[in-house]
Amino acid sequence: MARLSLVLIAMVMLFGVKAYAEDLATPSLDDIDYPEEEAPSAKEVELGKVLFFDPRLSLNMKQSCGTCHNPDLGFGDGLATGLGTMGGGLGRNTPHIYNLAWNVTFFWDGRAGTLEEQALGPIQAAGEMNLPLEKLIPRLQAVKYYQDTFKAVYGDGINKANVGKAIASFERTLNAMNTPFDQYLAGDKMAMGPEAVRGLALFEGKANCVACHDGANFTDNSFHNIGLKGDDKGREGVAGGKDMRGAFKTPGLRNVIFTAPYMHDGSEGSLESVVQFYNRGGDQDTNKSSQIKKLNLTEQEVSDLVAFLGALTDPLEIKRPKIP
Amino acid sequence: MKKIKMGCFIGLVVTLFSTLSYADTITGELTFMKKASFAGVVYMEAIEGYEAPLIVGASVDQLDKKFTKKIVVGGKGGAVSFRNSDAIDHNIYSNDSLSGVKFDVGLMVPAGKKVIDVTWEEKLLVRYGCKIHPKMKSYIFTSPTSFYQVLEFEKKVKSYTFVLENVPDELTEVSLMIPKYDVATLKLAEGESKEIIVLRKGKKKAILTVSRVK
Repeated sequence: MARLSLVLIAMVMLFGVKAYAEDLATPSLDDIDYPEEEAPSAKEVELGKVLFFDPRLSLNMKQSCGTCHNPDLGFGDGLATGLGTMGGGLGRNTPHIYNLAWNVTFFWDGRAGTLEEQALGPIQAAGEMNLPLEKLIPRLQAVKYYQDTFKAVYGDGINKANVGKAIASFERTLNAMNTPFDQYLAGDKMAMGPEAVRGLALFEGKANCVACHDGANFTDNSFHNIGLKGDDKGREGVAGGKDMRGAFKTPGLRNVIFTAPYMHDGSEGSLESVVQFYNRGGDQDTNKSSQIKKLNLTEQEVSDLVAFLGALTDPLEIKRPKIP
Repeated sequence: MKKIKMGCFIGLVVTLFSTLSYADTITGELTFMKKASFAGVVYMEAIEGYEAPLIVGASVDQLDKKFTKKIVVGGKGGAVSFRNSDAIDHNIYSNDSLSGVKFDVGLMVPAGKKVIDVTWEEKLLVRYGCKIHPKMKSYIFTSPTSFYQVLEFEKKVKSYTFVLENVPDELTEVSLMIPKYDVATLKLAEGESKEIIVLRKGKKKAILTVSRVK
């Protein structure tokens, strides 16, 4: 028994212990935990879409959710860090909103536990859209479309909770589920080129990206300090604990090719520079996750990984609604 | 002093139980109308003067970034022990606004163990999770009696059965608790079968049928 233990310890020392990673897969709509346990109606989704693009949701009526989460820019804004409605800069990169339907925590630091809660956050945040919800409700009540549609969808009309529900319902439809990678998984071996196929092997093997970017949406929904420079507390600011300092949520990678720049601070401008960042094991070691190590990838392997990330692409065409 | 207290407690439990006859079997079926929820617990309600025996040995492990139980049952005054069998750190905590329960066991390294005391009220379903891995969730249920069964649901399975054995005649109310659902309670005498609609925010979600036999 003692000998067996020694052998096990020696194996762990030699090979290390890999964290469990969920299989990469195609997301299933059946796996979405809808708050009401069933998918929203088409009318609720449409209402959410109109609200998402309506600049009435900002104090000076110049900014909608879709201004920063611009569908033409991968539901981001193309900037390293976001801009508020009054022109002030925000501290973090605007996160993309693809495949949030399966997420369990929102914002880079996970401060919102539901998509409904998240949807209301930026509207009222002083640095962002800067509109107290108490002022938003009468604005919406003055519009007949909103009066009628909120009543028809929710029964109790326009209120804060229903605004959050409607926007979240729309956001839960922004799903990339038919990428070349999904087609490859489904048996079409020509759906990905040889570079991407090699990249997939690296993603799951030598580069061990799946330690964090696992599962159907390429995220473990968890928080890690990946070794970026800077003094942003990240998850520590929400959940406490020094071990959470500088830890940020793992973003999903579906449609990642559209969502540059990358990282919570927007410090990496391209997917290649992201892979190079991980290849060198991050840029600072304080509180860095033990999962982040030098990868010793060749230039070809870096290119292969980027090719695989490109195979996670399923463009979503979003037609902007007419604002009532 | 502790021995005397424990002796008094055991004596009290023995006295109470000597007046209760263990006889009935409760069987039932829960059928969801659409997708099943996460998990639930069926339990017998206590009656006035009933003192539940301490529920001991409540434990949960963390493996493959999941809790090994969707609901762990503890009793008020008992404890729940947690283990980390993963190769990564976890940090179990609760900040459950519905029950008002808060705790934080701190960082749990691989192979780590922590124990929390169950100090809160009975009949609460307290959600807890991992601070590092928010997808991990589970509940602690404080059962008012030692007659309960946890039902772990799967989304694609609509029907679940349960059996509660050796239920004393005096305990006549059986309840079903599912997170975010209204509690469904039925009163059953020997030989009876009853059915109740299970609601979530007033919406019909499932049908619970329960029978009681000697």
